[in-house]
Amino acid sequence: MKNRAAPRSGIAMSSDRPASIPGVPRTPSGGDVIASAVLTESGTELGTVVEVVIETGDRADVVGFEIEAVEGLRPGDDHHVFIPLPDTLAISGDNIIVPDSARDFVRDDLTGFGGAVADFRSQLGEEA
Amino acid sequence: MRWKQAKGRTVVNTSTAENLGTLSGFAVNPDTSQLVALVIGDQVITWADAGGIGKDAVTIADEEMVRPPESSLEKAAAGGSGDPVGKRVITEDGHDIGCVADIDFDAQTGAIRELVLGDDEVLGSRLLGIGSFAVMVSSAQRSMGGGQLDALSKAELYEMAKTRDVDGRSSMTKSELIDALA
Repeated sequence: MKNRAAPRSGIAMSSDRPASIPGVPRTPSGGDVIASAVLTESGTELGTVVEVVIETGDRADVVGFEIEAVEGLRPGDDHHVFIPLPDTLAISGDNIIVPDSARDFVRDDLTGFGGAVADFRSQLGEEA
Repeated sequence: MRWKQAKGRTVVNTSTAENLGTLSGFAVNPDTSQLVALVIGDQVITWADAGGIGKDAVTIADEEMVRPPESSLEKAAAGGSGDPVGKRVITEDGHDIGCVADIDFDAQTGAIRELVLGDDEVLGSRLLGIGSFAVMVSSAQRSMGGGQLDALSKAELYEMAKTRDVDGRSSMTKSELIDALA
């Protein structure tokens, strides 16, 4: 398994098939989420999933995806970014749907990504 | 957003993340110059349910929002005869002013801004009806009742400039024709 832990964050990544990690989302058809399109609720494509970001601890919690971002999502030439996920989300063999506000919490690397996930989920909790 | 640009977008159910189909057209209410429904196959989605057209996809929250067409406008759209693109544009006083190449509309509200006629255009508010063979728009005289010359197509402005014998009209742009006729 390829694991890259970010210092002090408790965040790790896996490019293995998600079936090998408890809690990592799988599509209803049993396929994994790698290469799935990430779409906002209002219909804007953000990119395609490259890797799954999990929070390590007593149990694995999927907290985000590394995505190959569509052009224009972030400034600069590096189009690989990290996007936080809500507690629950809709996944099919076609798409992964995220709230529109997820794009406000996109990060260029894993440094501070745990905080971005917490802020994003906290904001969603306040909206609910 | 342009009509041709929007057609072909995927319609996605955000509850299940599944693709439901492809946007194949729109139902237009000519009385309000508004897109009132989206066509997906032989079914429709009320514009308000979709909340507009997303940048990359149309999203709806519930698959039950996809329903059979009910009104005559929706039935014409789902049957294909309500598509204005490719039809002649005839004014109510009988002038053929071109062919609809595309339609420019507000992606959020569905308001039709302009009927695009090749390199010319007329305001969407002039729309009176969409028939099987042609799109009917208000006459040039009625359209500029409020003094709005920009409601007219360039071809109509040129005809007006010809009537008034405006010098240099043949080389003028649309905005120059408006300035000369104001």
